[in-house]
Amino acid sequence: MKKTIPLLIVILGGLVWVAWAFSPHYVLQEVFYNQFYLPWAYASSSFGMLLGVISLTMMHTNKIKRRAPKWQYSYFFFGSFLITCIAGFVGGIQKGSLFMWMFENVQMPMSATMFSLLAFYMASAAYKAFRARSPEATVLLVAAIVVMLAQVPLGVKISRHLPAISQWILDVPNLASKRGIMLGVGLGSVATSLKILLGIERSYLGGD
Amino acid sequence: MMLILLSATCLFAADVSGKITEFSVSDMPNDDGSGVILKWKPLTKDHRIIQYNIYRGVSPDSLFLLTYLEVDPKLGVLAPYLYYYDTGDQPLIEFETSPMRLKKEKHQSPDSPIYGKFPIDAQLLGSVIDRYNSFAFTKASNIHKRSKLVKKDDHNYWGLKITQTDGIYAIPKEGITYYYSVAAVNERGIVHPAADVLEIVPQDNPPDATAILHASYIADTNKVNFEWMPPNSASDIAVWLGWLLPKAAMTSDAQLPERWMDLAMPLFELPNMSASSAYYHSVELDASAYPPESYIPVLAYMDYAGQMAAVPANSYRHLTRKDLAGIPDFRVMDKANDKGDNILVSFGKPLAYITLAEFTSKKHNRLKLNYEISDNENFTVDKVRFVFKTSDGKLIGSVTEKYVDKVFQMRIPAEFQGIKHINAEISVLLLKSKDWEPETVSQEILYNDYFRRFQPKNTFVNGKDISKLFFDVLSRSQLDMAFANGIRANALTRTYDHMIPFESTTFRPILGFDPASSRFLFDPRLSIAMDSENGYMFDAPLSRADFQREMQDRRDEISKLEEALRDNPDPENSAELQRLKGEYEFITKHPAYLEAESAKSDKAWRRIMLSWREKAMRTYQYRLVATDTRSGFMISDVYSTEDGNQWFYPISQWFNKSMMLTFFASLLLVGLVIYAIIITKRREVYIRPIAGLQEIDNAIGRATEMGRPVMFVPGWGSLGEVCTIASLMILAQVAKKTAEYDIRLINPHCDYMVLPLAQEIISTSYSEMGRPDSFNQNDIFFVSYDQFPFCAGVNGITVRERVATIFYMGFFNAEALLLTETGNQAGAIQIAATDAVTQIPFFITTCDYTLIGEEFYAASAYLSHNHEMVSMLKAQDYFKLFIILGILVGTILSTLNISWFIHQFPLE
Repeated sequence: MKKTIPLLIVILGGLVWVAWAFSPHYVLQEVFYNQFYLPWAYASSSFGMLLGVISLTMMHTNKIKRRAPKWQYSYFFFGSFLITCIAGFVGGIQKGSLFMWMFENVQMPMSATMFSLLAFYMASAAYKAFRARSPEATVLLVAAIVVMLAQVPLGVKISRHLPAISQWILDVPNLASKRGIMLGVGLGSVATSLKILLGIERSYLGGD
Repeated sequence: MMLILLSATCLFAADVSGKITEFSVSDMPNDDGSGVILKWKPLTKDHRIIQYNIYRGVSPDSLFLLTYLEVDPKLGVLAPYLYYYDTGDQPLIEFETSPMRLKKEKHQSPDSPIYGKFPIDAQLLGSVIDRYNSFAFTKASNIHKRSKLVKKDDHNYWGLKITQTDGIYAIPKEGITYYYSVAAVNERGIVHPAADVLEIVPQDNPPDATAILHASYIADTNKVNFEWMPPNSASDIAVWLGWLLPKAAMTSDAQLPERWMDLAMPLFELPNMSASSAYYHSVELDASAYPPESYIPVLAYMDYAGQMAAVPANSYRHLTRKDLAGIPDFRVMDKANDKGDNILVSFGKPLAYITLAEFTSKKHNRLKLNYEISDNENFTVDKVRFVFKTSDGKLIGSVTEKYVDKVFQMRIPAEFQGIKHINAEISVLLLKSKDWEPETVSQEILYNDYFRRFQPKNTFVNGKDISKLFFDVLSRSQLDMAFANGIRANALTRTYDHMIPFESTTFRPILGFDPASSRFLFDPRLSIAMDSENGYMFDAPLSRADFQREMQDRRDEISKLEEALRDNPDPENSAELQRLKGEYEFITKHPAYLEAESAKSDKAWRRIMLSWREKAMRTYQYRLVATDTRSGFMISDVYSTEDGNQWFYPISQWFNKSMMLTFFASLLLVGLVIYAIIITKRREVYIRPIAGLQEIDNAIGRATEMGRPVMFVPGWGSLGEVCTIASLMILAQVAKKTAEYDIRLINPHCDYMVLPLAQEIISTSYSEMGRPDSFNQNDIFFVSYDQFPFCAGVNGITVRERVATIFYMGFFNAEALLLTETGNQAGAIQIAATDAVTQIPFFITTCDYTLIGEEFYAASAYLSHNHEMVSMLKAQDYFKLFIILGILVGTILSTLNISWFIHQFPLE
């Protein structure tokens, strides 16, 4: 019973979504989805956020208690969490508020910094990928050079056919392999859904 | 110089205070008294203003924030003045954003009359409600099912609490005094002092003479066609009046003379039943008495206050029936595969037309042409045929597009190289049809030397210039008195989707306020049905008892009139009796009445009435107008089907037929799963070795040897995505291994809904392996909902905890490379699996093993060795065989120009 009832709930819920996908009827699209599911999902989402906050608090409290490596940083978490919360609750989150100031001047530059690191990592990844160690890697190197050159004016200066070749690489071999992967992904996700729906996959309930 | 400096300093000082200067309010011209114009000088950009708040009130001591205009704090406002038009289109109260209590506006002096948003306070709103034309925006079910009966001044109303509404709109009323002010808000949220409060009394003004009228005299039918576009504030127009004025009476500058009505002849009087962008009317005219060359049509219009304006016709043409735009064959039908909120009006079969063409060779002997299809969802275009000729009729070539991908190339014969003028004739062949459609598109395509490409100049459909042919769909519900316009569409348009929404929310006028019950009052009547021919109306109150009382009153009134007529036959009374009897009969014979009679409770009675009302509201009839926009129009009769039905009700469909193939494919997959389960029970089946999965044991073993933790990153997906579920299934298997080897498992999350599920899965895995003591809930934690903070957090853990093995399984975005490069630098073994096609190359480059696409979904089956799960993999393989067969058959048939097979598949 401990597993049968949750399994039944999952299967019934899954069947409702299958019906929702195939039926445009008012009862499913409007009454079930817009009037029942969406408000319910919005309401439960805020409780989910509370779970996230509790989890973070527990982890950092534990770190401080255990004096785990770099435990001092956990105080920064509590400090910044409290300051952000107080700023948001007291001063509001509109433009011009302390909360928004912190978002624009602390959070956004830090996120941008992380994002900008991507350029360097990408260069390092390209270096690893484009080393002509084998015939396959050489093909990859040549294709990459053609596609990259075609994106810049210099490419057209070298040869006016370069953009067309680049587009062909993107439209034919690249798209074919991409579609192959996507076909597999689509089939895999349908199969996973079906496994859950038919009760074959039960690991989310614990056990095999 | 000193004087200039002094005045500049004064000006600057006034500006620096942040108080708005040159603020004025004025009445909106030509409206019904519901509009006010506010004008003020914006502050300089040094003030870093982000918005201007608009305040309105009905007394000078309390003005409430109505709305605001956002501006750019860096640029400021470049225009010398800012304007705001208050027509009541901003809600006074919004349930989601309005405060519960009255609050003074921030940073104002203690005696300032400026307040924040109007609070959700029924008594306060009730005290001013009669100063506005107020409307409530609420769910229809609140009015129909949750409202309470309120008696006030011997009238019954349905009352709603303020919290049962989603919002209240308050539109200014003519003759009432309103007070306005404006305040600027800077980017720090400081509200500068509000401008001096100004008062205004809006007035009902005469309509403006900006209507545009075209008229035509149709000689062989003796009719005059009027077609006009309404003036501004057309909703205030009560009636349209058509006249004929002798041309001789016009002034020298072609204007109407002062007392033109004394000289003109009235032609028609038409009540303005609905707001439209264009109006059409035809009247009969005796041309011998009023020769068209001597008269000019005039359109006059009167607002609800009896104020008038008039315009003479811009053009008055002399036409015959054959000059008029012809009505195409059109059909009305329920739209397929929808939830029941659309009726489809179909004007004709699909058409193709060229949009652009350019030479693709330097010699100008190859042409690339782009074309478009005017679709009609009832037909599928199978092939398109293009015939190209020179301007003198010589054939250049023809192309038949067998795969309609909206682009094709054509070789230009040597004799026509460099041609700059091409005539194209385009026709289509529909699927399941043997003959090409007779309706053809002819286009003149001219070369533009500047753009170096061909562009279509003139387009004709069956010889008619589409720039002079438009369609308009007129529709009327069973509760409407007159037809209203839909949308004007050009001649290439093939269908019109008439959206008929469900009545989920309603916009109702508030008739008053009852302070005792704190309820706002609404009209209790519901329109159930209408007989537009005789003008009979079947409307009922929401209560059955009230309805029965009304019916009794009707019977009494009829008896009284009959008695009165017996004593004194009066033709006026007789007509009234006939009307009353007719209406009574219309109501009592109506199916809604008959069905509701048998209802056992008041609730059931109301439900029946509401369902009939819903049917009447959403049942429509249609007419089609074909016009050249200059009154050369024809209006069709009301459309009726072969069996004579003129009314169309949109039906909610239970099954989307366009997904039939997907449905059968799903059933096939289920069938294959069952077959594979049977097979795998009988014998061991082969699964291709997947290196990434085979290495999981080794990777965890390595972490055990090194005494360092394992990290599992479930990606960026939410619980609603299949890849996250697949990732959690792998997590269960990985957790079992880490429990078995007694090694620490760190599991950071960016979705707080996934977190508890992951905790539960890992906890169960540890218990199953007999190591519940090793489970540490604090190692499964939430990091951040944002992409890069999550990434920074995980990178930090990778470096600090010196993680030995990392699994990236799930959906990833730009953070993928940042995570894996850090893991790489930290010397961790990394195994990645994702279905995000764009991130697979990064994983392949930086990780030790990568599961690509479907391997990711196969992982849990592969790791568990459960035969049911393995059977799923086999079923997938069988299904792939069907897909490959489908692709092969489709390719062969398409190569042979047999296209019905590929047309069976949905595009998306």
